[in-house]
Amino acid sequence: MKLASYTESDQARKLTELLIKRGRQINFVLFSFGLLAYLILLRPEYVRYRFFDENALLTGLVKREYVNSGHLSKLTKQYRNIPWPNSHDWMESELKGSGFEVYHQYYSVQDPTGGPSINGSNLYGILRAGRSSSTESLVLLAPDNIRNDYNYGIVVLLGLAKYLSTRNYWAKDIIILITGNDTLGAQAWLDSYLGFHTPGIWREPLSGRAGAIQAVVNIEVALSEGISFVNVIPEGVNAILPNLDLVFVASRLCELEGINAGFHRKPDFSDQHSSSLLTAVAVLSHQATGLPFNNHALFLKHRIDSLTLQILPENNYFPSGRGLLSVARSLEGILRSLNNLLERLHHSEFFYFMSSPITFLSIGQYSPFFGLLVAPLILESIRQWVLRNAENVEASRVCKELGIPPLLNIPLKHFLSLLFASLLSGSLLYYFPSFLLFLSIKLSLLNLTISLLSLIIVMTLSAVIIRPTFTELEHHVTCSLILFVTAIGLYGLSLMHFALSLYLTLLFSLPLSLSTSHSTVSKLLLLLCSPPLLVLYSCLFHLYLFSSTSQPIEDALTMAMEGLTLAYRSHFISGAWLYPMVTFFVFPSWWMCWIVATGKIKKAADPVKKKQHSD
Amino acid sequence: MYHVLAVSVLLRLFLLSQEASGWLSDRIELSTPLNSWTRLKEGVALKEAGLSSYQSDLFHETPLVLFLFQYLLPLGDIINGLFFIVADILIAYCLAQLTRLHHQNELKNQEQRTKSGGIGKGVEPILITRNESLPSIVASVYLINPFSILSCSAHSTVCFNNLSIVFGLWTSLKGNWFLCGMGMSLAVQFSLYPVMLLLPLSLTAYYSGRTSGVLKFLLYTVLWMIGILCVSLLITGGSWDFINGVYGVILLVPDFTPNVGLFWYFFMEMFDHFQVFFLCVFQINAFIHAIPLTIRFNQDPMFLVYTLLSLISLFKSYPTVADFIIPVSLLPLWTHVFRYMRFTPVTIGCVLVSSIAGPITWYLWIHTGSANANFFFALTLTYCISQIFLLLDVCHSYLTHQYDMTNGLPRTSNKLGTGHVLLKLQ
Repeated sequence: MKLASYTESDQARKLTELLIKRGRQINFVLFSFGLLAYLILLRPEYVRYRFFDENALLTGLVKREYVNSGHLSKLTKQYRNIPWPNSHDWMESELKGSGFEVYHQYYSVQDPTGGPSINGSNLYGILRAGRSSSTESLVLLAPDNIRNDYNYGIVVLLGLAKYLSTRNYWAKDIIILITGNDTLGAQAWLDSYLGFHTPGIWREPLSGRAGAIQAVVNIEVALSEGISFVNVIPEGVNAILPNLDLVFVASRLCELEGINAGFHRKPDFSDQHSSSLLTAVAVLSHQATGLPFNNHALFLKHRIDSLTLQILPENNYFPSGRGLLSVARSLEGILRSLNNLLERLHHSEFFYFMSSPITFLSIGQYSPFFGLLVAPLILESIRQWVLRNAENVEASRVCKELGIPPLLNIPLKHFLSLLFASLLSGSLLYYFPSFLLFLSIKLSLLNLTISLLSLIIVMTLSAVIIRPTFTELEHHVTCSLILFVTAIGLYGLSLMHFALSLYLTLLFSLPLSLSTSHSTVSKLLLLLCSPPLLVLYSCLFHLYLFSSTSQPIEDALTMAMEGLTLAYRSHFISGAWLYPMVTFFVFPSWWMCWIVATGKIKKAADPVKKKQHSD
Repeated sequence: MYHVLAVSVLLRLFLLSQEASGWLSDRIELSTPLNSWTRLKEGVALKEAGLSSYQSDLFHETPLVLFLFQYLLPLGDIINGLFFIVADILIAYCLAQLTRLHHQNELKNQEQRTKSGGIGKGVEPILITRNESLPSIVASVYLINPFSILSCSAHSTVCFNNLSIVFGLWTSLKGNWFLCGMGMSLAVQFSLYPVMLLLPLSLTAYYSGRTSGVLKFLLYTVLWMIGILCVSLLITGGSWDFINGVYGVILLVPDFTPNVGLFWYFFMEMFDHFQVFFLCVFQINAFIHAIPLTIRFNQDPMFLVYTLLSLISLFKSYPTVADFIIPVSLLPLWTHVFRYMRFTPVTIGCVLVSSIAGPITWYLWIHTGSANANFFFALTLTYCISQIFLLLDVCHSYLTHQYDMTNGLPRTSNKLGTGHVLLKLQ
């Protein structure tokens, strides 16, 4: 009976010996393979190309009819002449003139960081569907922000509104929503529309409603004489993505109208490997934050497919000279496509990342190689477990003579107390800003940063001062479990929020797997990937990718502080996970490894030691 | 022990004070249609409104729980929360007492066997050693277990089921068959599956009082069951609807709300005309294992109880993670066989993976709509695999330990452990 056998096969013994001796090297090789795989995957031979899985969407791609460019330029002139906050009346009369039912909604948002409350109002118009009862609706959004160059989406929507009302084929209600204060206005409107309540947001009940929202397009247009390039932004809160069909329909329609489509301001050179690599990196690093930068981001949290089309002004790179008319025409195409849908978008992919407007990688392609990147953590965990078995040699020798396995000795005390302490310190970080607010200390950029940073530093130093003592056995078990839990956490995170998980894995995988050795280099590596520095790296990286600056360190520091406040605020208003993820997962797992790496090892009294234990 | 108690109570109180409590009580891992707190409140509201709680497909609690909470619910959230915490502490107390008695019995048995020469030579390293802290270990495993803490905060009424089971086990070891009958009949009327436990408890009764003991135990159980039935009928005002509302639901599985078990996915995917057949197969599968296990482990009713509880948690129609806690808490009773366990890393890994990734796949399926039921079901399968691995591993270790105890050490066979008989029907 094979089950009853305690003898190891030769193969198994060889494998464990290899793992013990060459574990570090194997980890390094696997990690490099994973990294290499991602570089190779983005080659044109391996990426997947644009396709439409939902046939109902194809109708809008055939022909656009909107031609009234004179109306658009008249609206542009009128809008430009009205000072910023007074434009609501004008918009209302324009929408009413086009046959829309128009409503207002006032809201007031209490700033979770203790700042003054923000007031504003949403304006929205509803065009009732001619072909069916009001059971479904499509939303067109345009931001109306103070100090923002991207407000001219309003003009496009108002121009299009007149045309839309003359068509008789709408099977879904069309809602035009004009909203301000970054994402706060949209949040208030969405909350009332869906009947949610976010603490800190007061809003009027909606006086007019339409059907269930099927899809949302947020249009941000920067005004210039010509427009040339559209930045398609699909990422929502917590990096939830819309159905890939919607992204492709939008980018294809823009292209048909002569506007270049791209992701995160990277030009489309899909035939070049380096360009698609850069695009992928930009897309992933944007996704990794999971913060709502655009209005559409909020809708995705509620399972509504949505995206933002950000139309950038003409510049030297993309002289194309298309005007607002092309934008309006592509929007018309998107609406007609969506209007034809019989059910929610569900055919195409939900997990993907783009490497150019027409190429992408789907989850089936990228997730296996993610496994290689996390492999060092898992293998090191197994290695520690194997080393645990090799401990207690003397006792196991006696047992071997008797023919019974040695005592099962899994000291969980250290692991459990570490887990508890790290979660406690995580919640300390999480609740500390609320505590400061409770003491009525306003959370300015500097306050928040300094308080959190000093907390982290105190906790980091406390590990060095306390220096818990482990026996070798306890050390192996504790390391093994910590690494395993971290690896599972990263895997789990990769299902929900791939970009963040990938970023963390790239930085954490090797240093954490090395934390089991007691060398100075490994401690230094651990310090280098401590959470505050991670934030700094990501800001530097972001600056390098998206803007050129002469003083990167200072800019990165400012950005880190702003990012921290943004993450905190977005967590409480829009439910973004970045802040709790850092306090409850990133910091605790790093901290546990740090404590284990700095802890003292009590040599067992038994002098029988194998050579490989000493590394 | 007291600091564990304090920490566990504090954790439960903390979770109660948070909004999380309401959120937790709708988690499908923690509450099923049979024991959901939300449904319980609905059932009580229906009763208060003068309607039958059982005629609609909302409420599947037993009449006793309905009656209890008719009076508890108006007392407010805090009292109700405390009530569940007290129930958890009682479970831990019963577990500790049960462990103390069982440990004493084991040591006594071992002594007798040593005296009568019933054990092999050289078995000193694998003998059961006296461990005074065993009761508090078992109680701590229950109290500190995240599953039990979450289940308590979710107000899942499965804790009454667990309480009556451990109460029955404790009193059976004490030899108080009147109270044991009460515990068992309560457990049976809560969730029906513990009816399997009558087999090991009859064995215990047989060893303590021979045939008359068994008769006494069964008589008390039947009397208690009749009593509970009468009380239930009194509560429902003579209506028999609750039979279909509770036991019909347990046996016929009409509600496919996902849970951590195996039924929902299978029956959701299946063509309707196979339903009756597979219902029979699944339910027979849940009960049938009791017979061979009773034949094999008839010497040790407590171990039999452990295996049956594990199987109930695995195969019952509406399991929650709280069903898994009782067998896990009982595990320290067999610390002397742990050295033979071989899948420990796999089991721990499976439990960790399923408890971290399970809620994530649920979120992806239900909230963001980007994954589907298969993802979540894969994780519940992992959870079930971890349970079956644990059960298999413990059974195997137990049998190997028994073999070594009888045949003595070192083993005579040169090829260590290969080829010796582990399963021999007696």
